[in-house]
Order: sequence, then C-alpha cells, then structure tokens
Amino acid sequence: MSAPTLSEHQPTDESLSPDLRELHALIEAERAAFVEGGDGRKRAGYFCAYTPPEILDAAGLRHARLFRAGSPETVSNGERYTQSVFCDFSKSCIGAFDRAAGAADPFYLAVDRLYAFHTCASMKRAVEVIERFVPTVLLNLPRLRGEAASRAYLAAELRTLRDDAAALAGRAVTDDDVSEQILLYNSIRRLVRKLSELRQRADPPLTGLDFLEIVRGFYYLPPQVALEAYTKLYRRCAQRHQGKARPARLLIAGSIMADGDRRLVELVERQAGARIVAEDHCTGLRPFRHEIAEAGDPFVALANGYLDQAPCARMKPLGDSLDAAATLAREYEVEGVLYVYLKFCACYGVSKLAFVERFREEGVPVLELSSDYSVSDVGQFATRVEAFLEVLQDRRAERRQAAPALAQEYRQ
Amino acid sequence: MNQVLAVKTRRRNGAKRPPSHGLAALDALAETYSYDALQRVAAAGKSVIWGGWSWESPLIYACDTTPVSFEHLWYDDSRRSAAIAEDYFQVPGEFCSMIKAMIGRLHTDRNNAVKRILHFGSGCEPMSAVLELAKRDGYDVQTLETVSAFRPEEKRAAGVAMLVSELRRIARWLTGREVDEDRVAREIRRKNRVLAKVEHVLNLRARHPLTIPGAQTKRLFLGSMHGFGDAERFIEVLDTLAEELTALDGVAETTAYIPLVLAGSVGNQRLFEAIEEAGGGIAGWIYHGSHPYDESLPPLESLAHYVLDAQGRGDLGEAVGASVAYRRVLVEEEVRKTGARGVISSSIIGCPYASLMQQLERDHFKQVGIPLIALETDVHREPPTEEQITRVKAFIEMLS
Amino acid sequence: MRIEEIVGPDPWPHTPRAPVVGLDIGSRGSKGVLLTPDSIFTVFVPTGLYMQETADELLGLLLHEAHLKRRDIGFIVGTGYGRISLAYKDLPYQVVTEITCHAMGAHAVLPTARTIIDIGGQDSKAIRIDRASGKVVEFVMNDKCAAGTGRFLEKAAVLLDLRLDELGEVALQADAPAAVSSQCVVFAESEMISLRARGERHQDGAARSNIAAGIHFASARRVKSLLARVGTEPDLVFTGGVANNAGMRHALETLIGARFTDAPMDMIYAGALGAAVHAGRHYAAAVAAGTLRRPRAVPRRRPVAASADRYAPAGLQA
Repeated sequence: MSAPTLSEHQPTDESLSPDLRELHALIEAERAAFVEGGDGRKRAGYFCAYTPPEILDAAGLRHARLFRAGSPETVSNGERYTQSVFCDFSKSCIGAFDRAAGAADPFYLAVDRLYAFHTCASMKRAVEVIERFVPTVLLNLPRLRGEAASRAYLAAELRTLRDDAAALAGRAVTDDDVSEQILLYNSIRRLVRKLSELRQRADPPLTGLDFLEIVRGFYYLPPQVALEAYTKLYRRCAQRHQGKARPARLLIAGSIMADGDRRLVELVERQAGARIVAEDHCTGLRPFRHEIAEAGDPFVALANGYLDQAPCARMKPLGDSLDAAATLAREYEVEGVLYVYLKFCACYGVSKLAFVERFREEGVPVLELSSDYSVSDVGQFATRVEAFLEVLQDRRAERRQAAPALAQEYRQ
Repeated sequence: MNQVLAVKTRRRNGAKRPPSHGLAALDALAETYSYDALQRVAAAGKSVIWGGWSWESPLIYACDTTPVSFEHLWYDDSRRSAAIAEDYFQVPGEFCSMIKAMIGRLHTDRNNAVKRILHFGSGCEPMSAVLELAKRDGYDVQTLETVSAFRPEEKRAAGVAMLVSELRRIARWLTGREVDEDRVAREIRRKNRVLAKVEHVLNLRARHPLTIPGAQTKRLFLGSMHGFGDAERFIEVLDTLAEELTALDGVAETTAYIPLVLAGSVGNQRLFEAIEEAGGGIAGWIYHGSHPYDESLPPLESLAHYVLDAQGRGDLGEAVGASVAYRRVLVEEEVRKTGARGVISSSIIGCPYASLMQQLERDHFKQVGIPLIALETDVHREPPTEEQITRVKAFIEMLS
Repeated sequence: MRIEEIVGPDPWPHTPRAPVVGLDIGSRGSKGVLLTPDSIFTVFVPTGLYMQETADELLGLLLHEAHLKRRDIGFIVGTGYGRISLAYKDLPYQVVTEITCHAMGAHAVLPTARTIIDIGGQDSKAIRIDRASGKVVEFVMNDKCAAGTGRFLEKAAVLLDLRLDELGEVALQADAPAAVSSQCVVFAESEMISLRARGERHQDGAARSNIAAGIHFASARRVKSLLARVGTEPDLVFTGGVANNAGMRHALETLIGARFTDAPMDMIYAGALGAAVHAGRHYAAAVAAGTLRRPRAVPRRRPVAASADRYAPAGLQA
C-alpha cells in the first residue's frame, strides 16, 4: 500500500538535525512494515499516552500510538459525523478510520484492535463513531490522582486490557511478562529524558523538531529498536561541541500536538530562530517524566506510575498539572511559554487562565495561541510569535544591560 | 424564572378548558425549589449543594441534603454571566453558553450560602473544566470518579465497585459520617414511585399533548430526577394531574394537532409556542427516561447499576456521559409508540455531545424515513431568531 | 508639520538624527510616516495588490511632502501584514511587528499611555506597555475569529446598507442596542438579518441604529475579553483604523468603564509612527557602530530574532 496523499505537514530530512536522520528513516521503515503486514502478528492501536505499551508488548502485539493528524481533508471527513464543535484532532481520528470517505489512513486501517481510554469527553464521543470502523475496546481512565480507590480501579482496567490483548495475540500474558516490559520501557524513558536534558544547555544540540521526532520513535518503534537507536543518538548528541548561539528558550504547553502538526514549531525554530527546549504536552516531554516501580504487582505499579506522571489537564486536581508545568519551566530555564490549545479543547482551552497565571507567577511571559489544522494561518502565527520574541529580547536585554545610555543600550 | 409561570397555553379553536389544579400545584412546588428559595434554605443552615440531582439524588437526600439543578445558574442574567466567563475567566469564545453562564453566575454569587458542588467525572468535559475554575472562588468541588459503561449490558464489576466506593466518599463529604444505607434504600423506593407516576402522567398526556404545555412538561421531567426537594408533595401533584388527564381520556381531542416527538431539551419558551402555533403537539418526549432503580440490589450498588445502564441506553444525557449512539433507539421507540409524524431534535449551540448525536440521528432517521429537524439554541432567554421559528413552522407544515 | 505641533515644545526623546521612514502595510490601508529632526509627515493609500508597489508609493509621497530625495533617508522600518514582502536594495531596512510598532507609536505621542487597544482590518490586539520606554510588556491578540475586527464591522455595514464611515455615527443614535451574538460572525450575521426583517415588519425606524449599536457592542465584547488579560490601566489609547469609528469607541468605553485618552494625531498612524521611531533608533545604533550604509555588496538578511540584540545593525537587506 502506498502512503496516503494527505496534505499534511511532515518534517522532511531538511528540517531535522543531521543526527536525527537515521532515526527518521527507521521510523518510516517501521511504519511501512506496520501497514505491510505479513509477519503473522496482530496490530494494536491506541490514542492516549496513558495507554501502557508495556502490556501490549508483553502480549507480543505489534502496536503504535495513533496520533497522526494535521490534514484539513481528514478533518473534514471526520466532520461529516461531528459537525463543527469538536477539536480537529478528534475529527481527524474519525476521518483517518473512515474507509468510505476515500481518504482514510492506511496506517489506521492496518489496526486489528483499538484500545481506547475514555480520556476527554470529545474523544470518547469520537470513539463511539470509530468503533463502527474497527474492533474497539473502551476502557475507563480515572481522574482522581490522589485517591487510592481510583488507582485500584485503574489497575483493574489495565488487567482487562491485558486479558483482551492476550486474547487478541492468542497467548497467555503473565505478570512476569509485564514486569519484564516495565524494566525495558523504564530504560527507554530514561534515555528519552536524558536526550531532552541536552536541551538544558544554552546552545542545545537538539531542536524541538528533533525531540518531537524522538517521541515519534517511542510511539512507533519496537522497544528494543528504540533503545538501541536512542543510545546511539545520545552518544552522538552529548558529544556535540557547545557553540556561542543563544537562541530564545521556549516551552510549548497545551493540547496534543499531532504527528503531522508541525507548522508552528517549524515557524518558531526555523523562521524565527527561537528554540523549543521543553514540552508540556502529551506528544512531547510530558509522558517521559515518570518511572514505573520495578517491583511488586505490575498492574499496581503501572496504575501508580501512569497516574503519577505529569498529568494531562483532564486529571484532577488541576493544580497538579499547573505544578508540573511550572516545575518544567523552571528546570529548563525557559524565557517564554507558547500556550497552544486546540480550538474546542475543553481541557486546555477552558483552563487556559489557570495555566497562564501560574506561568506569570513564575515570571515567565506567555503567548496564547488557538490552533487547528487549517493551512492558511501561518502568517497570523508569524506575527504573534515574532512580536512575542521581540518582547523576550527586550527582557533579555534589560537583564543584561548595566548603563542606561542610549548608545550602550543598543550596542551589545 | 418567573416568566415561565406566566405563560398561557394558546387555544386555537377557542375551546375553553377548566384551569388545572395539578399544573397550578406543580408551579407552586417549583417555586419552592427556585434558586432564591434554596438560597434561603441554605442560609438558614440546611445542607444544599449544586449538582447531585440526577442518578445520585437518593444518596444526596439520604444525607439530608438538597441537590440543586445547575440550570438555575442560567435562568437569570445569563448574558452578564457569560460575559464574566469570557472576560474574568478567559473562557474562549467557542464554548457553549451553558458552561459560561454557569461559571459566571457561580462567580457572581460566590458569597452566598451554597458553596459545595458535586459533579460526575463521566459527564461533560467543558463543565468539568469550568468547575475547576470555580475552585478559585472558594467553592468546594467534588468530582465523582469517571466510570462509564460504554455499551448496553457492558458493566464491569470493578466499575460498580468504584462507583459504590465513590458514593460512600461523597456521603462522608456531605455529613462527616458513613452513609445510612437504609435511608438510601428508602429514598430509592420513593424515587421509583415518582418515576412510575411521571411515566404514567406522560403516557396520559401523550393522548392530549396540548393539555400540559411544553415548559411544564419539562418540569415533570426535571422533577422526576430531583422531586423539587419534596418528593411526597411532587407525588401529590402527579396524582392530581393523573386524575385530571384520566378524566379527559374518554373525551375526544377537539383541537387538531400534528403529533411530534421532541428529543432533548428546549430552553426557549417561544419555541414551544411556535410549535403549537404551527399546529404541532409534542406527543412524545425523550429527555429523561423513567427507568426504575433495581430495588433488589443493595442500595449503593443499585445507584451504580442505574447510571451504568442509563449510559449504555443513551439516557440521562451528557451529564452522565450517556452514549450518543443509542438515544436514537429510544427516540424511534417513542415515535412508534405515539404515532408521531416527525422528530424535533434539540440541542445547545456549541455542545460537542449534542452535535454528534444529532448528526447520527439525522443520518439514521433519514434512512428509516422519519422526518427530523435539528434545532440549536443557547441558554439565554431572548426569543429565538425568526429563522429558527420559521424553520420549525415550515417543518410542521411539511408534515400536515 | 513640525513635531512640536503634535507633542508640544519640550524636546522630543524620539527625535531622529536623520530623516527616517516607517511603513505600515495593512490588509486594507497602508500608512507611511516620515520623521526628520524637526518635522513629521504622514500619508495613507489603500493597499494595492502588490505590497512593494504600495510601499514605493508611500515612500514617494512622503519624499515629495518633505522635499527630500531617497538617498536622504537614513533608515526604513516596515511593519504590518505586508512587512515581509518588502525589500530595499539601496536603503537600510528592518522589519518589526505591528504590535511593537503600535506600542511605540502610541507612546511617542502620549507618554502616559499604558494600555493600547488596536483594531485593524483582520486583527485586534490589547497591549500593555512600559510607560517609561514604550516597550511591550504583554500582549494578547484575537484568535482566528473575525468577530472583534474591522472585517466584522465591514460586513455589518453592507448588511445594513451603510458606508463603513457612516456605521459608527448611526450606531450612536441607538436608543436600545440589540442583543447580538458575539460568539461568531456567521451567527451574528444571521441575527442581524432577522433583526432587520423584524424592524421592517414593524416599521421600526430606530431598528437600523439599534442593530448597528448591537454589532458594535458584540464586537467590543470580543475585544474586552482580551483586555482582561492585560488589564485596563490608564491611560488607555485606541489605535488602528477602527479608532476613527465613534460607535466603536463608545461601545468600548461603555464596556470598559473608562475613557480613551485623546491622541494629538490620528492614531491610524500609530503603527507607521512607531516604525519610524524604531527606524530612528536603528539609524543611531548603526552610526554608533560605524556600520552605516552606502550602497555596497549586500550581506544576507538575518531573521530578526536570531540576533541577540534587536538594534544591532543587521546590514543591508538582500
């Protein structure tokens, strides 16, 4: 099957740093193989970063996160069911599965079973349509991070996931199988964290685009392949010589940034010359800030570990998400935040004020951007981003300058 | 709020009907459950909370607490409340008027006596997000954990156990003590009586849809959930209405009307009037079902099963996260039961849940050949646009 | 016009050392400002199909007014929607966003300005500025929706059969502004049509004014929610093309509960003036660094944000 001719924005070899090209090629090869089939293994797909791939791998399933979106065509195919008031991501999830619409994504069509956690209400609704197109298992995801009963409940739902994965794969999945995967995935996450931490340097050897590609790898590559690729990558990048460049350091926070929704990051990094050094969203750094306990009942460990991770804003209390975002901004010494929320995203749109105020308390300016998958708004984004960077430059200049004389002021 | 009480039904052929004691009693009862009345009750020291008026209401009443329906928050001054949501809380424009009015009014009234809010995590996401913002005004907001049965008959034991554990926690939050399960059982039995009587009245009404106007029919549905804080009195009202309607049963309906099924709630009074002016009568209404609680189960489990079943059935709306795919089954049954000639599907502008459900219903009813029109309104009280009124009237004319 | 006629007799801190130009290429109209050590010149032309042509037209008109030649110009700064399409081989040129320029422009003629509302053809913005320096502290812009921009008002004018410049005055005559949705232009449009039909049916002479006022208030509500982010500290200044719409001014002042400070010149020029002020600073920095231009081999243009200091001379534009 050939690749879909969707008008998405995919990073080309050019937009990634040279060090990342090998990883990019690996990912594309893996994705092609996922679609190709013929290896006798069932394919599991999932939307949400709270889905433990540890369980899917323990069952020997081939799996991938389904977060490919960015094409207006896919959006409008999904819209036939939802009409307008859903976020473009949830519409795209429907559109990608709908064979009848004529522009479905072969990658999505290759999925044998969809494991869909009830995350936000819009995605749950979208899944009610999607389950017509693909066999789907719906699972509950608790919101109350602090309640022991909620953690026990998640553990129970994860066991249900395990049971279904085992049935799909046609084999038993023991607790030990899962424990083994927990170890493996922990080491992968550790590496991803270390790679991200290279961005704490004043002249980061990795761009935000690069890091998003690394995260792509996590969600598409088999764990052993990912581990090997990241190890090699880390060795190369860590050795990079520190240059004199001091690009503006930005954090992107907010809604999911789909694989294929890159035009903002491209604009910020390649056109405006700033740098994304950290992400508080679920397709960036956020899902990698936790480790699962490596002893004891693996389902209890998974439930605790996933609920302990830096939370999605659908989790309660919201204060936990605000704390995590602020901590990240401090750790990475960001100069500004791009708060990017999908239009109609309740979790990040309605909560916008709370996040903006928390960043303000940290002394970090915020640029709010409402986004979707249309292609014609790059100019509008450019104006806002550039103006924001002008503000950040002034702040930097103020921090540095000693004498107020005009000539000195402008002659740094 | 009081505008609703003042409405008179239109009489097209000049047929005079005796004033209904039942409806007068219904309106009087609703008055005691008005926002102002409940504020006074709360100020006098009684426990009153926002939310908890739906599937959980037997538990709330068993905790000596009156649950208040959220809709009181948008009855008055809703535009000003919505402006507060957009300005003070920075809620982006694309969200619905309902959640904006909610947060705005909660903010305006933040110094009043009703400071506790309960909501269900399986429900509307924008509402969940906006209630987080209410915490900034000192509201004590409790979320009942997100548990859903995604399909009919698909309930997992862990889900039931989770809900039961949550109901216990909420009882402790309300009273500081463990829940009195016997009292919950009594409240369940009482609510079941209410539900049965509401169903009976609605069935009688179906034969004479013009006798109970839209707004008051809506009251019956709401009352089936929360009993207006006084279930026994509501039962008396229902008995009176049943008597009055039974008396009409043998009498032929003199005014011709085109029977319709209304799916969803209509916020705006004028639309009810427009329907009747065009010759329509709402014979059937899918809003809240009258499915009873299972009294053979332990009471907290009974509540859990009740909501899980409702979700799978597509009943009780977005507040419980009901399925969008299944409500049309209920609507179609109602059409067949009442002999309705068409369906009016109504929703709030900007509601993702409703917009998807309406689209699925549109597709389905087109396929089975039942005419359907979709209406969208906001929660503000101003009259609907000429365009909406014209569409409704044209639809009904098309059916005649 | 002499600068002191606008800003008063005291020495103006933004006086350039050589003639400089600011060009604000908007989606509907383009504005140019030329500053010399003692004078200010302004021109306006409708934005044509080609930005460069429009910019050249502005430059030509300014030079003519000021009796100057092209080679007399020390620096040009371009801003607005069309800023990135411009190029000058023979003159030093930089781009700065219209947010920064509007802030500086308001500050330059009203040193007490603290909060700026700018409504242009397709954008609306609220900007909080540092009173001492005129620099932007914080800003918020509309999301992609057109409600709250000039385009919304244009549509309303057409639907009410009015010229755009009449719309504001008609709105001021309203006795009971209609409640119009501020959520979406499309909704508002259909509401306007309904209201207009109803007004005709009831032969309501006041209908058009009330609808016009309703539109202005709906638009103003969208803008007001931007203000909640940056605050409404005085002095408030209204800039951009829509600032000349008295109905909009009234609606905003009513909703905010405070008056806009009157500016000593037409604030449609705020962006171009701010650009000219920035041009003056760029020129001064270039002189101080000794990198001043004469036509010579042209180095590659660097993107603005990549240079550590905004006023470091960037050399000539390619």
